Amino acid sequence: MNHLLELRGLHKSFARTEALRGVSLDVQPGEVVAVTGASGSGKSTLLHCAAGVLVPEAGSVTFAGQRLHELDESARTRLRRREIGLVLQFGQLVPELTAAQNAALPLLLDGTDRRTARTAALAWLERLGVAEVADQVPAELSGGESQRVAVARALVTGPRLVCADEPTGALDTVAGEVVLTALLAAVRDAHTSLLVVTHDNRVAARADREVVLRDGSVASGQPAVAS
Amino acid sequence: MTALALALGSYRTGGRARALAIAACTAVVTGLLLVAVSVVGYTAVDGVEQTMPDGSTVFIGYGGDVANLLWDRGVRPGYFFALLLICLVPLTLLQQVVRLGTAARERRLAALRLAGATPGEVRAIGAWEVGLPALAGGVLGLPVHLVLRTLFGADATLSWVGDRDVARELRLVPAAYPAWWQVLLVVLAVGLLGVLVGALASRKVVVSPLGVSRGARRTPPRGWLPGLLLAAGIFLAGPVYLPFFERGWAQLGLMLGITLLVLGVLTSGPWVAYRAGRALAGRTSSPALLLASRWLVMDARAAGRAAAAIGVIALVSGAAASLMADLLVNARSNGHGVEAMYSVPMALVYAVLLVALVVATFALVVHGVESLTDRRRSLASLAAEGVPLEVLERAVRWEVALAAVPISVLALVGAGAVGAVTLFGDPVVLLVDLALRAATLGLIWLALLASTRLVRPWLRRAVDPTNLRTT
Ligand SMILES: Nc1ncnc2c1ncn2[C@@H]1O[C@H](COP(=O)(O)OP(=O)(O)OP(=O)(O)O)[C@@H](O)[C@H]1O
Ligand SMILES: [Mg+2]
Repeated sequence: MNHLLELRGLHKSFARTEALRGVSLDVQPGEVVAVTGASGSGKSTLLHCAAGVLVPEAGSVTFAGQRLHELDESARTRLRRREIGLVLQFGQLVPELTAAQNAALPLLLDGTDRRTARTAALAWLERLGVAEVADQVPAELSGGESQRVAVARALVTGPRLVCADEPTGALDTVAGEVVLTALLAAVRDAHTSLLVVTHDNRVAARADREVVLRDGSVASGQPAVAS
Repeated sequence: MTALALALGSYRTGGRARALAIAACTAVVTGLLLVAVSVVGYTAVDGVEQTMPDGSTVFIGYGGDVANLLWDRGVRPGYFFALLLICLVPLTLLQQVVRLGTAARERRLAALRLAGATPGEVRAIGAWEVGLPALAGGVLGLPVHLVLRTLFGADATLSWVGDRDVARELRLVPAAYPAWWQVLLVVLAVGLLGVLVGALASRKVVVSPLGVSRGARRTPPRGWLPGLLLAAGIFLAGPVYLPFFERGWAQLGLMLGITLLVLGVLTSGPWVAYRAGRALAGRTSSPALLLASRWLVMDARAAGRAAAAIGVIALVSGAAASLMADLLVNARSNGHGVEAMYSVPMALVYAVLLVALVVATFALVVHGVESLTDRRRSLASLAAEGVPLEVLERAVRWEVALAAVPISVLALVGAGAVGAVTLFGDPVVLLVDLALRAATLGLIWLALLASTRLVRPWLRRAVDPTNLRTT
């Protein structure tokens, strides 16, 4: 019963579409889980629920023993910025801040002093091979570079879980490969769990487990849980 | 502290123009408020009551080498009140400039939420982003006050010898500075106003880490609040004020009435725009007019607010026309010209109105730029489907015209009804009055044309096909 993340019977709908219809999923500490499925099958919605960005209408999201869906927006955000890293398809960096400032942001928001935060951010940029663009703003970065900065930002607080939604979806094969290798190496090293949504078979192949969604339900990949 | 630092960070790029515009608006507000405070502190004695041997009292007035607006104890409160009203000019512009760069700002705030900023922190950043430049503007208001004092400065108690001439009537700003604590209070109040405006600006916006959703604004603007304000304003300025206009409390009532009227016009902007849009949307067959009226039906608030400033200008101009007519009637019946004591304030009113119209034009430009950026996707798809640019440009012009013209006509006519009684005796004065109202409407139309002409480059940018792919 020591799952890091425990999703039980998630339901989530938007206006007319039912995006999730009773999805259950567990992630163990240090496990890399790939979520695949057709477009519109609910992958992003599932990931957003897991990261505490969206709240499901029914079902529970338990992260490290905390029931995420019962916390209010601020509390969830504070938990997320310490324990859960989030990487989306287009990086979504703050355009006015440099790469280093972007990567340091979760630490700054958490009250770490500027110098310590910068040192930590630079160390991550270094590991991900983007140290030389540390003082450039996102507009001056390539897609692959900003994606690696986003990965640095997700990892800088030493989270226990990283949620990534098609982190390489907007990149060409080579750049995607670089980002993916860096991300996987980083999470394996730190024994961080990774939940990654992807269309890319090669990503799924390098994961510990692949979960396939179809029409808002798990089609395969989640071992039957004895409840 | 982080919110403060991040707010500061936003001035590096897109936020700079917005910050400068906010500081400029608040600097002017502060300068005007400091003049108003020094008018309150102006206590020179303009005369004494003397008891005559027969027991009656007469007022012996002293001369003063300053404008009558400042010198005359009875007029001074009205002058103070007028200064506060003039603050509305930069304030309406402020309301629009805080919208500058909304799309980019919302993207930044969403990115901050993604990085782990809580909703409260994001709101604080939004408040500081306006509050800090407003505070800076408050400090810059000190030199603005100095400039006003240099141009219109008046010594406190010079006794007067000579004519009431134009130069004297322009000595409007007391030479004495407000006390340091008054200055501090004004500067802090302006900064606080900025913080409030900044916090309110993002009130309806829900910034989630995944992006921004505007609060659903499906409910159309309602008319009862402006209606109530207008009715109360007319009541106080008419049936209450007129029979008792010599009493102090009636004058206070008049000021309250005018305030309510102005607030009524300001708040009725969105409602009038919405009604105008509704009235036309089902009837017109012109594509430009159809687009414009549909925009107003969907969201009349932004355009209505920008147009409401024009409505207030029309209201004040309409009242000024009535005053002018009254002055002319008197001047023609007693054979003298209009005295400088009256003509200079009238000229100042028209000067302020012209400046206000220019400022309101810029407010409309800001509105145009922001709403074009907001609608760039639908505009680009319209253009891609073959709707000519001229039609879109006409739609942009119709949107502001539908919002601004009805309210202006109503305000001009409404303000004229009050003064109409004096006009019937004198056809010449009636003509002057009508000419002033018509000229006001003409200038407003010019302002609308100018504002749409000025946003043309942004329209071109909005229809760029690359906008089809942006979210
Ligand atoms: N904010 C939203 N508003 C309305 N409908 C939404 C929203 N988000 C998702 N949906 C709908 O929910 C369903 C699942 O969406 P989701 O984004 O989770 O799919 P996905 O598997 O990530 O697809 P893709 O591979 O294309 O990214 C879709 O039908 C989508 O249209
Ligand atoms: Mg998706």
